[in-house]
Amino acid sequence: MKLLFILLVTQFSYSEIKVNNFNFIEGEYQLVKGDLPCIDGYVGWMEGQDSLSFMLGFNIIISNINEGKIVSKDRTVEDCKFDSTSKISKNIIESVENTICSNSTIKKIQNIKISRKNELLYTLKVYNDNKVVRDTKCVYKKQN
Amino acid sequence: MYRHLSHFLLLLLIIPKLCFADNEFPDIEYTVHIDRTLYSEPGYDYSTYVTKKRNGHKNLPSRKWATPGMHLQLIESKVTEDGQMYAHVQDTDNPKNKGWLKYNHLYYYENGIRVQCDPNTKNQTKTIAEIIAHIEKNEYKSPPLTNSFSALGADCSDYIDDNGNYGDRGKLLAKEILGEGRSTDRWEYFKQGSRNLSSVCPNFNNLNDEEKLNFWIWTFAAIAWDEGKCISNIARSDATNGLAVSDFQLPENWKSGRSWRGPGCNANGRAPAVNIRRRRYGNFLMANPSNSIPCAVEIMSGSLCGFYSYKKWPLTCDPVEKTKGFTGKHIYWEKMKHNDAKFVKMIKEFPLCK
Repeated sequence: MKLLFILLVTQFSYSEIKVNNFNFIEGEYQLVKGDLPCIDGYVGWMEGQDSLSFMLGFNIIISNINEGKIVSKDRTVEDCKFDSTSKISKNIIESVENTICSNSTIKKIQNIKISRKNELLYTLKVYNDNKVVRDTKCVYKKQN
Repeated sequence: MYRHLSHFLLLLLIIPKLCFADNEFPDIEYTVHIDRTLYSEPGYDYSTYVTKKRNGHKNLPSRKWATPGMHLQLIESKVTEDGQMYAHVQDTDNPKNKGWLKYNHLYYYENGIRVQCDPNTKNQTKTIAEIIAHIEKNEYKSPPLTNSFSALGADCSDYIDDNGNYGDRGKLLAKEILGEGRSTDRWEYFKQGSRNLSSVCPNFNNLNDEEKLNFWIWTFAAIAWDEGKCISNIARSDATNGLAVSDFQLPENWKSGRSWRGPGCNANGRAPAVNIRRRRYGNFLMANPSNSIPCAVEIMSGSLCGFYSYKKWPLTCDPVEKTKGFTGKHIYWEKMKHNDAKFVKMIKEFPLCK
């Protein structure tokens, strides 16, 4: 019974987040401006995942939304640490990832916004020790 | 409540496939939905039964025991003199109910899709078992790889060696493609190919199943050469979407890269990786070929079956979308999005494509 209650509360809070904080139409989107990692594809919530996750084409997925700072438990590369923070607020999904290796820090910042024309705007900035090494902007339009 | 739960669990046990139960295919319980009530002896089809009944035949077999939706288990199968195949089946809920049904009146469900039992499919399934047995014994031959696969110092012989034998990775690929591994069984989609495959391999539709298997292993070897020079544990952190590992350059990140693609992309057991300078570079799941190969096959078969169908979540195979083809925007491997990639040229070198 408790489990059912928790499940219902979780589902309710997910729905609330979707409705109140990021209003868009799920489905197939076409890339109208920009380049990789942006590609045409499905845009929407990845229901059934163990955290709130959003897919923007098959290359861009933001997970663990509104769960605070997530620190990777597994050290996949020696002497490196990995953490990420993702959140939704005011129709913006923002994700910040840090990969800290022995002598450098790579910061990856992603933003997804909804424009007035109901297009989706994606920005990606990658910093290597505070120096911008990648700056990408993409615009997606819903396919009919 | 517990009784309902036990019924549910029982159903889960009963539902799985399939249609065959001889020595090579041990008894498998399966769900069968029958269009109409049938008869119970080999050689009698429905019309024969009706004719005999109308003629007042006295020794007619019972034809009332099988009802639509009944769960049946195959006991044996026979082919009659006129070439018809019949299945001797038994009601799993009431084993006293058993009899013979025409093979192609049986159905089972796979991934929610109704599949009609087909005597030819039975033969095909046997061929898969035979192919795998041959592969295990190194009795299975492929055309040897062309010189392109050894360009830039690459060694792809772990896929197919100079004598046309499969190496360890080739054998693993074969099992996965044939639907006998960890990835979703989409052998049917591999056999069908796709709309624009004919531009890469004009003769594909004329190949038999074994030759098609050879073609796909050749194709995966071409991708492995193009993406990672057949180095199974190569890792790059500058890939399109973060860390990509193996000669198929697969996403190491579980949540964003693999969790949603299918069972082939689940992984266990890390292996040491190297960077492009061949220097030691961490331990990764996808650096282990027993993880990367099922995932690569899962992704490729997903592209062929229309899994990357764009429309709605959860993603599923979409028979319409699969016409998007062998190359195109929906393909995972970046270079495959464009039909003019180097690897396409390598695929065209498969001798049986010409």
